[in-house]
Amino acid sequence: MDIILSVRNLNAWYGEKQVLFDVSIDIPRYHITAIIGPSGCGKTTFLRCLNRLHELGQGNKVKGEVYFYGRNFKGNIYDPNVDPTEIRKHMGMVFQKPNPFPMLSVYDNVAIGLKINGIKDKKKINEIVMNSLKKAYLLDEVQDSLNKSGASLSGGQQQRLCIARAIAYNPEILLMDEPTSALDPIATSKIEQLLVELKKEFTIIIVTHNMQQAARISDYTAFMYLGKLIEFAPTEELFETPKHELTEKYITGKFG
Amino acid sequence: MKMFSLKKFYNLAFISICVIAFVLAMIPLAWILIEVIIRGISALSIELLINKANPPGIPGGGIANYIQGTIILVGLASLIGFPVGLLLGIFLSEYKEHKLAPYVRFFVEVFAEFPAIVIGIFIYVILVRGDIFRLFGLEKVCIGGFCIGATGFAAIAGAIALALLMIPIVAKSVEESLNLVPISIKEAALSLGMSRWKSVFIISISYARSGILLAYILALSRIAGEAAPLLLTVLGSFYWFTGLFDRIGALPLAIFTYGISPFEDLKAQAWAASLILILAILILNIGLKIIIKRKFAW
Repeated sequence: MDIILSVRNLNAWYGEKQVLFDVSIDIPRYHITAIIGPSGCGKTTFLRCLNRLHELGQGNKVKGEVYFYGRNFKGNIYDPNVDPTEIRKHMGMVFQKPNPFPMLSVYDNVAIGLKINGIKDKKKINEIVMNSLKKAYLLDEVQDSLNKSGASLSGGQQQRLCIARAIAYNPEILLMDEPTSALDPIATSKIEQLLVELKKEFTIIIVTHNMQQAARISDYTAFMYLGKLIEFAPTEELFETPKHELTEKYITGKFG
Repeated sequence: MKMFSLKKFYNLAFISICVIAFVLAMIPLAWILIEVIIRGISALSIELLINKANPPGIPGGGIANYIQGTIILVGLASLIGFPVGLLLGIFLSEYKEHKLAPYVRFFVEVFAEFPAIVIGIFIYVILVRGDIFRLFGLEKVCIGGFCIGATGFAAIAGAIALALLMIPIVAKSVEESLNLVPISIKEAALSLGMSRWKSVFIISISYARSGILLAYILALSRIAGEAAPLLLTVLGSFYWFTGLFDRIGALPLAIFTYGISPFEDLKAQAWAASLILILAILILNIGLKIIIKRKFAW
């Protein structure tokens, strides 16, 4: 298996409260890995540790190693010599609630990631923006409103705009934190189709509280409970023949 | 039925008290406005607006040099005060966990309530009289060929005094408007690989731009009408602007000196100057709010 991220003994705290306990997992490249588990199990915190966003909260702490085998970066992203902003450039993130920049146009929402990464050639920016919008299945719908505010789109469109923004600067990993939980079923299914398409180019890690979603789109699934990784297996295997009692109880709806 | 009517009575009584309080508060405000408008308009003329003031004893003259002076003073004060206030506001909002932040916040809050005249006397002692130079045993400080000593009553001293008034007002409002930027927007910026200062300057400031602009107008309106600090720093002048290190006129100073003068024509000019000042602040406020609504809304 071709591994892109290798997490070893990851622990995380919110102030004094520990929310992740010795999580170790290997994320396969160009696949969708879903992280499921009941509310408060630490799945979102885990995701936010992967692009070093968690540590920005006041009093938050992370301990452990995350080895990233990327195109231009190989090593532990928690090494003291590593600049977290550089790490974040290799990872795109899509949040639970669509959060396009409302003061920027649809076009600039996608272009901004390129501009801050030092791309100045307008032709190239234009090409990438259009391509990203197309990849996010959004171009046809926003063709005529590229200059309108990013906040003028519908919820589902806004989330696809956020995906376009996240893929524009060509990261290697897409981190998705319940990206469809604020959307209706039609918008959700569009995004699910999109993710399956995107895994050809990106490694996707998606946190979801929706087990059916994990079963539908992911190749691997991790089940977390109370801050610990309980089971990690190919999705089919995890749902059909769970090895751990807790996993079975959770996927059969006995708790959570 | 009885309970109901009693409730109704209390309700009516309370509303009546509110209305009376509102009217009582509005009477002086409306009175001032009407008085200024009526007296101001009757004194206003084209000559008044294009001519400079005459030295005492010579009748006639206008208030144009005071308008010019106020624009120069307020502009210079903005040049110094707005960037400093903006940076302080950014620091207070974005670097809350910094160990200096509580002290800066306390300083800004105290400073915002500082009487303007105290700032005036401070600048008078430090700059106009030049005690800051004497403190170091010097008469003046020279950098290259440019020397600066005690400024005497000077436009630059007035601008600095107004800038000091402006800084805490801008800092407080900028902090408040930056605090309104949602965390989700800041996190989106950081997740794109922006450094912290880039996310502040490119994303947060742009998100909060209308609040920041309003903060500036608020501060501008406040300092444009200040007379006390100017009395101690620029003193006033009957002439057009001649230089940063010379005395300069200003609308609030004209209102003060003309208003208490025994001559009817000068008193009338004081009313005209009041009207111009009020109109300028009003137009600035309304105009910029319209611009914000049209251009900055999303």
